Amino acid sequence: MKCTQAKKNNTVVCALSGEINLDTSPELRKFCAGLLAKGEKNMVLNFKDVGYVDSSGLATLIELFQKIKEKSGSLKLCSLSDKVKSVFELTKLDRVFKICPSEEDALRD
Amino acid sequence: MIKKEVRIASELCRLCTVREAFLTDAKVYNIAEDTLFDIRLAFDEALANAITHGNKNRPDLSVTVRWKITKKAVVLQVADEGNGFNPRTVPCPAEEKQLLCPKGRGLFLIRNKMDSVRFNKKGNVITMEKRLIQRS
Repeated sequence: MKCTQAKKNNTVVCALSGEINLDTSPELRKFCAGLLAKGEKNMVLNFKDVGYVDSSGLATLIELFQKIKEKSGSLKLCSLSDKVKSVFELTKLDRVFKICPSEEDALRD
Repeated sequence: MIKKEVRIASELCRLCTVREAFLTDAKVYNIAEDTLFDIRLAFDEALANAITHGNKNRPDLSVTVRWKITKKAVVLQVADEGNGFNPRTVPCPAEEKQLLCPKGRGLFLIRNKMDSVRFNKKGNVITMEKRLIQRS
């Protein structure tokens, strides 16, 4: 999995690519912890190039959501493929995360 | 028909190798991408559960994975050497009060992605099946 970041106004947009699974979740956790440590509390995670998410990936995202919430920040996910989105819908996590159709939508909201 | 049995030590780093072996066999049957996504998710979750919850990450204990792939269905079986559990006691992670709990979604995903899921009486062997839609 690769993570690249870009600051847009007061939000960090993280473009993720590959899979968010048991092997790669620690990497994502570390990447986001680094952003939080730098004081970034508003994040958009762009899933455009993410083809797979398992329960360990969901766990990592929930932990991130809670840490950002503690800091009164905002976490949005965008550009999920239908299959990846189905995992969020099935687990009802689409009620927890703000899921936007595109990066532009996520930054506009 | 492809029928295989693989035994691995209870280390999460072994998961990738056995999954790739399974996917290589699955691709022979030209399974639709969406269906393969579901089967792979169930496969990963069942193996991770067997290694971490069943065998408590003890490398001296094994996980045995069996698969049978035909034109009509994929049957997966994952057996650990742990004490087993009662799958009925696992809380539903999609309930409001569980939504923010990071863990506990593996079995839920398996149940919802596969067409049938059953456990042995002890609760250390899971057998799951996904029926396949024929493609030309």
